[in-house]
Amino acid sequence: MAAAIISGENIVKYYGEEKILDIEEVVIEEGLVLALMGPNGSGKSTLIKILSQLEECKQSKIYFQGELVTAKNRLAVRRKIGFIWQDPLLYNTSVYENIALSLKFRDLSEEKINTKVGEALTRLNINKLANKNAKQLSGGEKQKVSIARTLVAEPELIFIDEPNTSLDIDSINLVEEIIAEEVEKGVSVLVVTHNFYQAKSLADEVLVLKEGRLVDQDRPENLSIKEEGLLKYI
Amino acid sequence: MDYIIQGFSEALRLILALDTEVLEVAMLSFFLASFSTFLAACLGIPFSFLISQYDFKGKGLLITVLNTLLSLPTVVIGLLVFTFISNRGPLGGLNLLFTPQGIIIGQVILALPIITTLSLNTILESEEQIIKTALSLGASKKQALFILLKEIRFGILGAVITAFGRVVGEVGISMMIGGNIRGVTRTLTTAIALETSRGEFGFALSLGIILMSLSLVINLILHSFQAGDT
Repeated sequence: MAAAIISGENIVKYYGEEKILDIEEVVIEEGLVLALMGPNGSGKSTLIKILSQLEECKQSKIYFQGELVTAKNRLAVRRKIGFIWQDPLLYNTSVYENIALSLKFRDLSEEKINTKVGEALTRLNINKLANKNAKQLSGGEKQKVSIARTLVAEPELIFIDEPNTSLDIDSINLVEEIIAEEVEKGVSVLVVTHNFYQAKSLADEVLVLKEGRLVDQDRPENLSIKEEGLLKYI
Repeated sequence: MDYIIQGFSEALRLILALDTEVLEVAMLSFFLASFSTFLAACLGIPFSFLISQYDFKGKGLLITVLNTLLSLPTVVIGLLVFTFISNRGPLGGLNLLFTPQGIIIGQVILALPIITTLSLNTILESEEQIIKTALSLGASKKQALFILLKEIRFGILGAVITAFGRVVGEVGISMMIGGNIRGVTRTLTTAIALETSRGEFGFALSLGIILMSLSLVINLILHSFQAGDT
């Protein structure tokens, strides 16, 4: 068993009176692709926000590469995690500046920023968009810029929130290609998806959430025999 | 009908001839409104950020009070400030009554809730996604707040310009606190009221045209900011 890139204990989250999440333990192993599945409202987005330190969960303990995340190392941990949102918000500036922002937050030199942004633009094949205002892009172009600005920071763990929603087939293929390339480099990926067949083809392991509880975590081939039952959840 | 035509031609003559008194009144109005709006912006913008970023008891009530203050009549503000700065008031010793400084105090009170409320609405509308995205890109909390300010800059500027428009067109505060003293506290609005009552229709119209032009320019700027936001 590989070491965990991220793990969480005692993740209990309430919104008002309602319990949204109640997870005793969740472990994501290094270098794997995990698919997080579950019906709407099962707590998938909240779980990834808590794991990635975007949302607070006071009583929980989150470990990143074996180290407990505290107020002291929270920013450093967040900087090792990348996010690809289903409906990304791009800032009201050029595509170049949007991608450079991730690196500016990390205080990189102008020269390094220039080189890395150039590489990201080429990788996503969006060089011609560099000077365009990000607010004027189409949905597919926006998603490409959002992927570029996540990858440019070279995260060690990437959360991808429902990549199929609002994406055309080319963009879905692109996301899947990117996942494969990043995993090749040793990056761990957690994909939130409703698509069981995509989960089966992409993931090394599938986590199933239902009503805030982790009801299953197994390899996709093992889950296949429970497919009928799982489809009921999703 | 003749007197209207005569009034308009007299007004245009005064404006084109750059009449000293017309210019003096217009400049004073513009200066007072600009300075008051600037002070209110310096207080209101950070105040709106503080309200948005901290949860405290009575936050809802504070927002309701600020919203209520949006419709506060200028004569009521004038009366309130008058109570404090008149000779018998607690700040009477500062001799602020019938001074430009007195008008500025009243105008700041008028502009402050406008800037705070409109800025706060702009922040609350968009902060969640802007901050969440910035944090997910590796921003510190300070960096994320800076990005938020940068992203909503047009909304904040819109709030400031709206406040300026309201302040430059107010009459109650300038009249009650300023006293409409020629060359000292006479603003466009108080001068219009006075000159109309004195039958100086052309003079009043020339000031009215300047005020309307100022409003038009403010709205054009506001529109261009809003267009820049998309």
